[in-house]
Amino acid sequence: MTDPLGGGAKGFDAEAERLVRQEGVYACALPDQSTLLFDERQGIAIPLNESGARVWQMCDGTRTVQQIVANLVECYDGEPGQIERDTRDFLAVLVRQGSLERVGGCS
Amino acid sequence: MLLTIRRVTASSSISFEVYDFAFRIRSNVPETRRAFKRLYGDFTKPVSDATALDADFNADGDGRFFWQVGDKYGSEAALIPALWAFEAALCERMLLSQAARVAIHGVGVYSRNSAAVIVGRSGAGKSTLSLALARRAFAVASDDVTLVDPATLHLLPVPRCYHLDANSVAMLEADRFRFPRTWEDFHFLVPADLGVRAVPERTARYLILMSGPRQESPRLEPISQAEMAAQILAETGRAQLRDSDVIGVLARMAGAAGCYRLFPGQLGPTADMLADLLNSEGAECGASISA
Repeated sequence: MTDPLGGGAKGFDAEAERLVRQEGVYACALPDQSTLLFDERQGIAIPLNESGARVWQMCDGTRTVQQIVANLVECYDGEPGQIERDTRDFLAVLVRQGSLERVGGCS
Repeated sequence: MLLTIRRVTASSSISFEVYDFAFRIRSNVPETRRAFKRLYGDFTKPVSDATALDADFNADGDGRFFWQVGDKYGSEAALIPALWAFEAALCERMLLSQAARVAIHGVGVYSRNSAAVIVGRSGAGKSTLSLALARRAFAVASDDVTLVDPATLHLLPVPRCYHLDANSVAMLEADRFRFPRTWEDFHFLVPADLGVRAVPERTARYLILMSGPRQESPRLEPISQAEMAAQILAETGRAQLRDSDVIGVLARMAGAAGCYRLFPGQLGPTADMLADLLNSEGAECGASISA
């Protein structure tokens, strides 16, 4: 799996923390499997590749970070540790720029 | 040699309607009226005095040129910069009037069967490349701005004059582009000078993002439709549409097109490579193309 956005902080409590999509962030799924996120509050657009779109879909508040990573490890070729790092980085970027909100966990 | 401008004291007018935007150009410079008739010729129609915006372009006795479009105005000592500024002000007002359309910062290029939009930041080389494509039998119906109808996704080219610097002119001449007399005489080049009249309404089959400095060899790389939509959004006029509506239009537009990032090289090979892509029968998305 390639890193959908690259870079970013870590620090999720993978076993307990879940992520939920913020209101006002729209997702347009496109025929080539990419997805365009648009945050109407901030007026910013973020293109996601296919794996990024899959992560976004799973951020519905019901799955922990660990469960999201487990799903990706099942679906994509790649070293599990790298997939986990990429996923955490990606989620951290979306949290930092306000598209996702952390729920549960200690932080 | 630049044309000698005859100045007259009496101002006469000519009216146009471009995508429901009605305006009347009044000028005491006959060459100006002729230039704008070439630019907007396909849009000439009777316009009522009550609805038309007045746009004035006049020379005074000292050879200075004054223009006004609504509440915007300016003056220049030379004709060409004055004409370009006047045309830009008219275009700006026209775009402001397009409440229900999306304005993309890009050049509309048409082949016999399809259409493409070349987008990219100012100075990326869109105009120069489009004129190189014109030499290769493509119809270039707009420079700089293309409107999109949200319902049909049809491209609506906005007629504009080409703003070419010396570097662009040199590259085009090296590519054996033959500048028409209107450029040689007057530096006011419009799509009609290249033989382009009204173009059929089409959706974009290809979206091309010009990116980065010129390389040794040109290269086309597929990019995701989402990335293309995001890139276009960054350069898009939103008029009175809500942002989410504009995103929807751009996403549908990108979703129906083959999307490529173009790393330009020398003008000729770049135009040849792009012409091959635009002329290809099937959208060959997913493969990089090098010259």
